Amino acid sequence: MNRYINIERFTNLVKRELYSNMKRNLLVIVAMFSIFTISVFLTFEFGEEIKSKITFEKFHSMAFLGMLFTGGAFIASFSFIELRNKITAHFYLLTPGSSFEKLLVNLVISLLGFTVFMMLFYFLYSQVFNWVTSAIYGYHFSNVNFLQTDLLIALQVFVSVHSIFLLGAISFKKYPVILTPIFIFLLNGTLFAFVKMSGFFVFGNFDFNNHLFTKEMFDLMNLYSKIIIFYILPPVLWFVTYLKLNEKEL
Amino acid sequence: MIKIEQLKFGYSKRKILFNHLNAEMSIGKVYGLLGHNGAGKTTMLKLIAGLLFPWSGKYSVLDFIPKERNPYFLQEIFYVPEEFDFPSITIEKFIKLYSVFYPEYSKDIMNEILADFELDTDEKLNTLSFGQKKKFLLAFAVATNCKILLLDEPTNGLDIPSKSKFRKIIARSINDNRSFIISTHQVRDLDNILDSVIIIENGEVIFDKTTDEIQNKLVFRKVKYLDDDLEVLYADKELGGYNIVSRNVNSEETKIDLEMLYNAINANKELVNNAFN
Repeated sequence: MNRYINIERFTNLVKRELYSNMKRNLLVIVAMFSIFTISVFLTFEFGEEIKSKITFEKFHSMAFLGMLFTGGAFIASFSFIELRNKITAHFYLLTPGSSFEKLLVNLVISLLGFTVFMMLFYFLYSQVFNWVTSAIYGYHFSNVNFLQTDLLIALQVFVSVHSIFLLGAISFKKYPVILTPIFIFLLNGTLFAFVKMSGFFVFGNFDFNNHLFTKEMFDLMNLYSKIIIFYILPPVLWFVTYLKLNEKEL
Repeated sequence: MIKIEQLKFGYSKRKILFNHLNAEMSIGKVYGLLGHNGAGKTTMLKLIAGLLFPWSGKYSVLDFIPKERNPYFLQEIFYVPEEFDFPSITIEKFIKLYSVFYPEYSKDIMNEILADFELDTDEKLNTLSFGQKKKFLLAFAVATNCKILLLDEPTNGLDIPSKSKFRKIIARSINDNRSFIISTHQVRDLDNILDSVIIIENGEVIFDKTTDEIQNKLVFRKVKYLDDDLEVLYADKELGGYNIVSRNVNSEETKIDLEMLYNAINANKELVNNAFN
């Protein structure tokens, strides 16, 4: 008897979650691709002709990341959606499954599943897109390369952003997709103001950007922030989400 | 099976609902949980289900601590709330998605109760009326074969024939391995199905007796005049006489009138409880 993880229970929870949120998730994906396609073709039709080599090379990578982050924010925010309504929340909380399994289900669907789905779907979409744009406008966009370093780093950032939205999904009862970025913006603003004010009180008008830190120190700080954002932030936020789910009362 | 000792719970520090709640319930019985609005019936059910966490005190349900929401505990408990909503799926799909979580789920029982309630598995849950949704959830709850069924106002929204069917379903579904705890205002809907009556008031259990004990100690009847010899504990005047609750001094066997019992305890709980000493 394992009260934390059981494969059969986990599979049943995945099926339940997929079925419950399938329509909503598909709607987001369809809406996103439709809006993107319409706006791009309107730009091609009425905008200036594209000549830049970089645009042809980077177009699909940027479009893929744009849609991955946008769709990911929405789909992560749909996690724990039943908990936002008192009359549906008891079903969710009392469905036989551990809080760990319920968290894992959302990670598998909205993070891993969505990313893999987007890679496959975007690849197919880009093939059709390239064929059509080549036929109509004579444009030749490069295929998206999922193994290029910049894209892999962006995927790591996506994992961190996803973990923030997942925590937002369980923290905000309404509109988490809007309230999460607002909260992060305000939090960052507050922290920035605090650092600036502390710096002013300690150092006065001393320009510490130019004089206090050496290049080596900046590189080190850069490395630390990468470690924090990529490797520490997501597990910490997943753990906080787990605790919040565990402590949820009705 | 369910043990609650000195449990403290409130929705805020100013509004403490249970200060030292004590209760014990065993398996194989149908419990009726009665009390006025705001007495804490639903809260008690939610505490038992693990949807609310007590502030202090000891409690266990089937040897589990409900607030931990252990999946093996959740497999053995089913809570039918007063208000609920379903996703936009058919009855058949809901059964397919949710029945897998309950190892003792019985398809035969489900089909039998759905037939009793005249529900079709092709129907979409969100298109059903409130009463139909309730019938479906009650059917599913019984079919899970969970050891503890918590039913909050189960007859609210049911039509008259369905209330009678509900009583029959409860009567035939109870066995030595499971218990039903039914919270309700509509005490007449629970006629003849209860094994035990629990009344809560001001966060305390003020009455907790089996129906056998009640029948042995109390008599419920209608009289034309009130007489000192009757040892009346409570009387309700109505056209042509009085409905009374009195001490059962002659070992009479009368049908329990839950409404009268509830009113009697509300009027003077010490007097009624003394009749059991």
